[in-house]
Amino acid sequence: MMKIIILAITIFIINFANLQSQMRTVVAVTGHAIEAISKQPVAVKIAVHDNTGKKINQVKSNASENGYYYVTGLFPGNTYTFKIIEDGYFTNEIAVSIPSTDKYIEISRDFMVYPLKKGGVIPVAVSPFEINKSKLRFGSSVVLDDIVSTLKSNKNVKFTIKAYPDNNNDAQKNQNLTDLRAESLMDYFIASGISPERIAVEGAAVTDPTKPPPTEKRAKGKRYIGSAYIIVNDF
Amino acid sequence: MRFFIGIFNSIVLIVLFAIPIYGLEYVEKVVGNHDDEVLGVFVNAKDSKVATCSLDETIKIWSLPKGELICTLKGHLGQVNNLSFSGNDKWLASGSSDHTVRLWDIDNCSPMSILKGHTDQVIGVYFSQDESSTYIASTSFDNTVKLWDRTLGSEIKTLRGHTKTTNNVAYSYDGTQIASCSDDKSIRLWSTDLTTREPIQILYGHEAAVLTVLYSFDSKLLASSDEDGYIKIWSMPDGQLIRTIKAHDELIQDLTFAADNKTIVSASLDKKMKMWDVTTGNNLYTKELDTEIWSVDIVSDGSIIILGCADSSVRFLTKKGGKKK
Repeated sequence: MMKIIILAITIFIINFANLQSQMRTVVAVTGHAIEAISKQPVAVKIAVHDNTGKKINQVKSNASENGYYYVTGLFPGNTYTFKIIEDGYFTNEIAVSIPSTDKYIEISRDFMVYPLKKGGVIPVAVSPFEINKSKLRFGSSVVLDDIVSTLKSNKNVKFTIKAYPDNNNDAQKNQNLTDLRAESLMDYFIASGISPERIAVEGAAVTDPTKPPPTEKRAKGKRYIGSAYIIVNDF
Repeated sequence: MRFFIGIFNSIVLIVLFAIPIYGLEYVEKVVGNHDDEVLGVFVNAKDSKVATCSLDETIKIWSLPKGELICTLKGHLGQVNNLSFSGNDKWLASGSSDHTVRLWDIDNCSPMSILKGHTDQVIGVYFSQDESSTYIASTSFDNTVKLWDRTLGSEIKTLRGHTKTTNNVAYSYDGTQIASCSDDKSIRLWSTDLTTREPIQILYGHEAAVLTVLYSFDSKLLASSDEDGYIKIWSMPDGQLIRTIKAHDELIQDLTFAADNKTIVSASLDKKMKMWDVTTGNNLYTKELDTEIWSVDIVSDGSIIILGCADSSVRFLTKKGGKKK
């Protein structure tokens, strides 16, 4: 009798652990894939890899539904790599950390994808410079490391770093400033492991014609610092 | 001659009656400065602190009612457009041109986390005002409204529908709704539940970009302001337009409700701060400054109005004879 009870308890424990494992909380990630320049939704493949590098899922965003995608079966507390792979676009790897939780949740993450073509650009989304300065500001690695990651995932891309000034007051000063800004960015990329042979630099004497200084009275967006871009020369 | 005497008597009567009715007079004082224009002001729930944010990329925390600088928070890589205390006063959320929302621990004046997800400048930010203060809503030049979970440190919902820049956002004090406003001239009301992604209602009526929305403390009213200097008052939750006030000659970047839920204060680039009774639309008080005003908030008993100004100053308007804390 005792043996039967012990056997029953053992079976129960084994099944309970198994059941618990099966009932492990999962998290879903949803969001939209947007083309960074046109801001239009795009259809791209999104492969999800776990922290061992194993591909665990692949989905495609739906361009007709605002670029919507949905990935589920992800475990709380883990970090996954979402690889965006699609002809005509930069391959991109984005680390997505799943928060610790004991209940099913959906977290939201939008992905910007960059067209891969000659003359195509990746904007440096947040200026790594202070006004009228060419030295990279403290904390700018938060912004630049995403670009470094993209450039490392697209090893064949050769590119020009183009930097623009903050105003149109003095063309010669602007040219000097933006030449130095482009070189500062190049130095950062090289220090981060990008081959110098891939990089050219170019400063500009006048402000970015596609993103000129604001003329509205609004406060928001008022502090204007010249843009910088990665421009594809070859790939 | 009788005509002029009549006019004179009318003016005397108006003054004699108006002063006792409204009885408002505020004394202006510059309590401190940022290094650039002051874009946002937010008073905490206990009325013990006020936070300001600026084009200078910093946030400053000041004591109330004295106006002493407690600390300066640095970390954003761009101008700080907006900020909000959590409902429990423990944390502060800020939104910046660096595309991030940042959370700060107020007791220690220290950074807590950086919330990345917007793909353009963050313009508006608002903490949920319940005791747990779990959620933060934000708006951006990327046209979206995002909802963040403070405990997870993650974005949990993205709300789409505005067709142009979303300018500001507000959480209702009962925690059921979020309101967002946009350059597309609309106000969208969203459910705070985590699954609904469609707006509950879209409010049309403004004829210019809507710059600010704000719920009254009882969540029964929503006030909005626009680029043409108009304020609109909407009843909640039905979204009926109750009143339109041509309040200022320039854009109104900020509004605030007083604790009585019927007085609002507006701040404008026409250099005027005005106080309004939303039940009548009457202008209760006007103060003209020597500088443009970007932002305003008021302590709950109305004794101090805090202004964020384009000349970098943070100004307190203290009510004459007002209650001192």
